[in-house]
Amino acid sequence: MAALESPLPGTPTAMRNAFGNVLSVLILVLIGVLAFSIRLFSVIKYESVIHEFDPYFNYRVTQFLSKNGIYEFWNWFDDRTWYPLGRVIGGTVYPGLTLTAGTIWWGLNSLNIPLSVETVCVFTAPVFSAFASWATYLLTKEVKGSGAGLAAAALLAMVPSYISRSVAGSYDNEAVAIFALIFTFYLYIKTLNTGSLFYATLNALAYFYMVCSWGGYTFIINLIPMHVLLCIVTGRYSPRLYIAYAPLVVLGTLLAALVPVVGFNAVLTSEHFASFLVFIIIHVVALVYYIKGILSPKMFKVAVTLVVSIGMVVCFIVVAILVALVASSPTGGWSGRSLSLLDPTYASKYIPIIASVSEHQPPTWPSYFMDINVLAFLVPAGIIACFSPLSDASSFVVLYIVMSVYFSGVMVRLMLVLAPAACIMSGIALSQAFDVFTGSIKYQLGASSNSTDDAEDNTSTNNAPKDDVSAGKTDKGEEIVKERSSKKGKKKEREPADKPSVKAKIKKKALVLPLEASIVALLLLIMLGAFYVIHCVWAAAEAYSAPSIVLTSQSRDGLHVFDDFRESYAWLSHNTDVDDKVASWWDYGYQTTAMANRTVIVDNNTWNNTHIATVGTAMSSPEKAAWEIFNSLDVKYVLVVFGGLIGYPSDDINKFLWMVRIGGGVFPHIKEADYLRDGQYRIDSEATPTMLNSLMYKLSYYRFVETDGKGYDRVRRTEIGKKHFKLTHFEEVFTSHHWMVRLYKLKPPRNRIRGKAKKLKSKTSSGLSSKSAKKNPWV
Amino acid sequence: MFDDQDLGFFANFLGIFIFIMVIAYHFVVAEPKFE
Repeated sequence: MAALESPLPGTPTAMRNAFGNVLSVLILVLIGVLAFSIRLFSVIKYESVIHEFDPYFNYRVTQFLSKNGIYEFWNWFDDRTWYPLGRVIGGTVYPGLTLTAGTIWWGLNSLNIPLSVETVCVFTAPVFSAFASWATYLLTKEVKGSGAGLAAAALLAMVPSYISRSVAGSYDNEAVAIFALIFTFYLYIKTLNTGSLFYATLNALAYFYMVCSWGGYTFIINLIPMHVLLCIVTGRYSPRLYIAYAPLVVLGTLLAALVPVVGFNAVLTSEHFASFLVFIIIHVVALVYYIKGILSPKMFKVAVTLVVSIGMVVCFIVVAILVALVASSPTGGWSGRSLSLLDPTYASKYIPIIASVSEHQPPTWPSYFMDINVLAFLVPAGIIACFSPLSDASSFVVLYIVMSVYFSGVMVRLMLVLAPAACIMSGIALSQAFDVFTGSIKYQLGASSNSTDDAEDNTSTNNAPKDDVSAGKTDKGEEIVKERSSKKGKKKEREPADKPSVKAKIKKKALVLPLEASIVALLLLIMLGAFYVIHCVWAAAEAYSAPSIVLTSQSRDGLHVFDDFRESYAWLSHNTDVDDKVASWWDYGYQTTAMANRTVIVDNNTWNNTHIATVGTAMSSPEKAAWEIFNSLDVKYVLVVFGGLIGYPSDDINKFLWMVRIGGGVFPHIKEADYLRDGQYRIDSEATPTMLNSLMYKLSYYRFVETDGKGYDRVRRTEIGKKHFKLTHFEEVFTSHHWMVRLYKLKPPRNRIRGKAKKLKSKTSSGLSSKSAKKNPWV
Repeated sequence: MFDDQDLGFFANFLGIFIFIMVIAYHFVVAEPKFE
């Protein structure tokens, strides 16, 4: 810290630094409190409940871990999902979140704080948001000093994009992964600045935690190699860069391979190849620098020719091997999600299961304003600030923002990766502005006499201005100067007190703005900050706190609560046999297993496209064909979500076309065109017969006309096409209070008629009976 | 009882207060720059 480096304790500079440190600690504590409390709207407005879909699975896994211990967890084969296939949970889940929450729960219980697993899960995300803010402070401090760090941390604590994934109850991988991401970047920059092997090892461990937590770790293992390559290309190679990178690749890859869900993918898939390629390049470059150090210039020229030619050959061979490996795999070694990052249209063209998820769609411009608000305008200023002067650390954050802007443009989910970068850049921009304005105010307020005192204190430690240093150097020592100047730049950041010498101060004019202009500018910046805060609090309170499992609406009569999901899952839990199988679209799989404790056919893991396509085909088929498919899967109940009565748009009818597309992808007799009238998706009287006879239509609209006599669908804003019909193979067993969830039971196959009567009957009407036997295999 | 409106006020106040504190920090450690 600056105070520790101050030469004379008790001098104004030391006092100022000490006061600054105390203030920064206080601000960081307040930032932690804000980051935590702004995420509590969901608990206060609704209740302490796990949100949405994936968090229910994570919660269930955490429950299992806390009950059975870690070894059982690794070996857990779950027979309640993907019936009849099941799922090896221990080997297919990113365990970071579960282990973190499980450890917190275990620690608290050891301290005799008896919190339930659910409570720990609900509050994990807000707690880690505070950690993420502090990690942002550390990272930005390494790049542009403490002031920028504080501003960036304050911005991150309340950025809506991150809030959307980390409100209380949002118990998903991203909750801890964003902290891990920022902290890994911090340790990388710290290693880069210090060249310490200790931080390099910590960096590999932080990377390991990130790999445990989220599939987004591939962003790290591609961004850091890109930065290393950038440094090498721009002539900024240094031993510190080597220390920062090589241990990360070796240790990090070894550790990543220990995570069961990653395993040998850490060395076999294309997402990781960039890091290995750069690993080879950095060694070649290191070798060149080493040879340059031990040889005379003449000999070096000869050696360069030798090394470059050998290096080229080696590189060519390695690249050829990599290309061969990539080309030999069916998807070119890339997973679907990664391919859609490079080619945004890939998923929508080839993988409907990915395209069907709304968070995999490209974002719209308003969503940028909604999610990062004024940061979008501050980022360019931050980028400019990073170039004056450009250091290894600042070039990293520039690269980070550039890459994350691109990726966020591909997939709305990756706005989450953009948010920290935008906060860091905006924090740097704001800090630079604050520096200028507060410096001007301080100077104008008559601090000139104090600054002279300070300058006197600094004379013993001050360096000469940069120009003076570089002027005395020859061309040969150019690189040393570069390194020194960049080191000096960092020293400057750590020691705001160390400024130009007294002579320079006396001779040169102060770079300050007029007092009034500075005050007005600061007030405007406070207004900008206040606007950002108000927007963030509004977003947290109104837009991102709904748990999706309980819905509310405000009308003239007051607040309406729609608790249909839990009502239905409770019904299933209390009224069905524990081994009954429930079929629904995959969205509701996690919730059904977690809340109703019933076996499901497909769930949100979406690992088996054929299985999902089978359910999609059943939903798209006529009643009888659907019955046969479900019966073959031992299904006893079918669950559909219907929003037509209350106007809930995320219902199965709106998702139906995706069921058709995914089903049709595997079973070609399901054709999307059969469900569209002149290219339009309709459920009214103009709808196609295939649509009106599909199982999804029938299960959604069965008896719907009885509600208002017309069958008016409030989501599609039209009267339904087929109003009066009976079900032949399914029977309604439960419809929730607002008709949001409807449960149907498969009718049992009719008993076969035994005895002579049957035989006689079949003899008398042979032709007809053989036909009907074909049509109705259960008769 | 602490309701969502109270939390909204608290979060708004704390957020703006942190901004002002960050500016105060810059003021404390600031030193005028010279040519």
